[in-house]
Amino acid sequence: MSESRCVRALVLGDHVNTDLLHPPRFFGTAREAVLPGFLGGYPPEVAARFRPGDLIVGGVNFGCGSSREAYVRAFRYAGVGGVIAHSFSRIFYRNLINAGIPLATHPTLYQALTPWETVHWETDGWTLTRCAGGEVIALTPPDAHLRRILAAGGLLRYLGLEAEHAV
Amino acid sequence: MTISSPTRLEALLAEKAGRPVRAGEVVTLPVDVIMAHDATLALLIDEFTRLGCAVRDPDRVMVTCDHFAPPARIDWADLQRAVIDFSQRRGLDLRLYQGICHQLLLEDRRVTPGTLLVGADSHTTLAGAVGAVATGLGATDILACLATGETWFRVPESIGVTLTGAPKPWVMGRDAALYLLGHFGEAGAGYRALELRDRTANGLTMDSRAAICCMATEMGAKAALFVPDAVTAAFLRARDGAPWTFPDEDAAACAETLTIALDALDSLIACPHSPANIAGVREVEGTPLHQVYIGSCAGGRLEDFAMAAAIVAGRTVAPGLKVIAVPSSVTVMREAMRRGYIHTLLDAGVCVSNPSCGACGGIDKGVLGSGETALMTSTRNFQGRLGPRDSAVYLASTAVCAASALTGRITHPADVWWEEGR
Ligand code: SF4
Repeated sequence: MSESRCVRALVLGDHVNTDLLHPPRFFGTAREAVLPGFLGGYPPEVAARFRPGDLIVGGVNFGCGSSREAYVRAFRYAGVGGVIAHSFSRIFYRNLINAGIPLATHPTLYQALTPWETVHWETDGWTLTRCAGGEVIALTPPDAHLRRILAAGGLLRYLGLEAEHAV
Repeated sequence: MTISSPTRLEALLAEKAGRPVRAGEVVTLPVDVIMAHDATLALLIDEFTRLGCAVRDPDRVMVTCDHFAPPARIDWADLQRAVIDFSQRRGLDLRLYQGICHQLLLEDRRVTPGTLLVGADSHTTLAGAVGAVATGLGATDILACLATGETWFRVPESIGVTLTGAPKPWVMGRDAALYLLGHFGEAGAGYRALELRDRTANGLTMDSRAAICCMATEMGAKAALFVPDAVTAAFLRARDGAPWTFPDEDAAACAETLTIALDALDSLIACPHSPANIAGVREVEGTPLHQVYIGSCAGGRLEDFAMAAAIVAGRTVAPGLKVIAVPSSVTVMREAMRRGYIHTLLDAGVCVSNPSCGACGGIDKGVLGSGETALMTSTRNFQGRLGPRDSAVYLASTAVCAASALTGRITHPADVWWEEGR
């Protein structure tokens, strides 16, 4: 495992809601308005430590709460590399897939990883490798319909509403 | 009834699909009504315009300005301006400051039993009060829906919920919702639908049904619908007489069922920081409060104003306590004024604001300061939603909120109202 492919995993718990991930007062469309709210329900050290490409790993019902996609923008602006949880809240699940942000489920990963552990995620093989020790963990990918949307790079491209990659 | 008979959700979605469908399969269906509000539509306007999309059927669309109503910040005023201009240019049904999106859908002629409704807001489940199949989606899904007129659904499994008995006078639909939240937790109904049957002694009001269907979102439910009955028929007749049909009620079979006996139910409360962190009001009574809020799509309807007015009539709210009431629509406000409820609340020292999401969303009026504690009828009490991390929110019925408004502490409604034999 080459170190350069490793990213870190921010490990969170059960029922992580959208107001913790991105409080409503940071609602907006512009990067300057939205990005400061990333992980804004947590102590400021958490967001400060997050680097582009890092993963978020959570527990049961991840992303419950609001449908407001400002949090998806915040995830994009912060460079979230993907989300792996025990289970997802349904609107959040659709929103991430629609935005082309990779996600998968695993029942106990959030209990197994140490905080900010380094990992490597192979999204085409749907496995996660722990960089220290090299343990390979099988993840459950989204079902076929959703994988097609994800593979297309999001819903708008999947539906042919968008031909080229949006900047 | 056999094990293979379809649930009502399966029957309704089969009707839309034109073929039998079963829970678990993914179907792409045309939608009857699409709703977006200022805080979600704003996110997709640039994208929609850039992609050169057209709104496929403007008659099916409702746009509301309710989250920033009116805006308190320049950037939100800018976003809302884009929403207003977009809606007018494209000939969409724009409801500017007329009330909360979900209440306006409940009051809208296009929303009847069996209507397939998607909204760019999580509490879209509320329209299930009239028997609509209604669910929330994100802005990108709504963008695609506006352009194509359809979207995909995973057909949900159903949970059958039957409500029975006669509630105590201070027990409201919200208490049944809190009971269900205690039962299911925040995810227990995840990806599934609630099919509710009202077998109570007098029939729950449409307002109470709306509160229950609204809060189903907090249980993770994809949809929640009341099987249409005499209450539904009377409501729709009085509303606009819109015609409707619904699949045969006796044929439906749900894998999981649950009965709530309302006789045995007392006022409940959701403690910080989860809408499913349920306790009896007696367990937390006396907790000091800085703010009481009556409003939101879960608790700003006419029956809420009637209850609040009955409790505070002839009294005044606790000194130094911020008490705010916001009707969920102009229609509700007008009727609450006509019946004198608003007057009663003003006399008691309540701040009554214009129909909007108000303090519910943490975007508009009524946010909390450091260390403040609020009791609200609204939908969520997540940490950080309404104020800083050290603020706290309890959620309960309007009866509990109004009683607590008088004392400044969490108070059981029986203590301030019924003791005097009102
Ligand atoms: S009242 Fe609250 S929950 Fe309802 S739509 Fe508005 S912000 Fe959302």
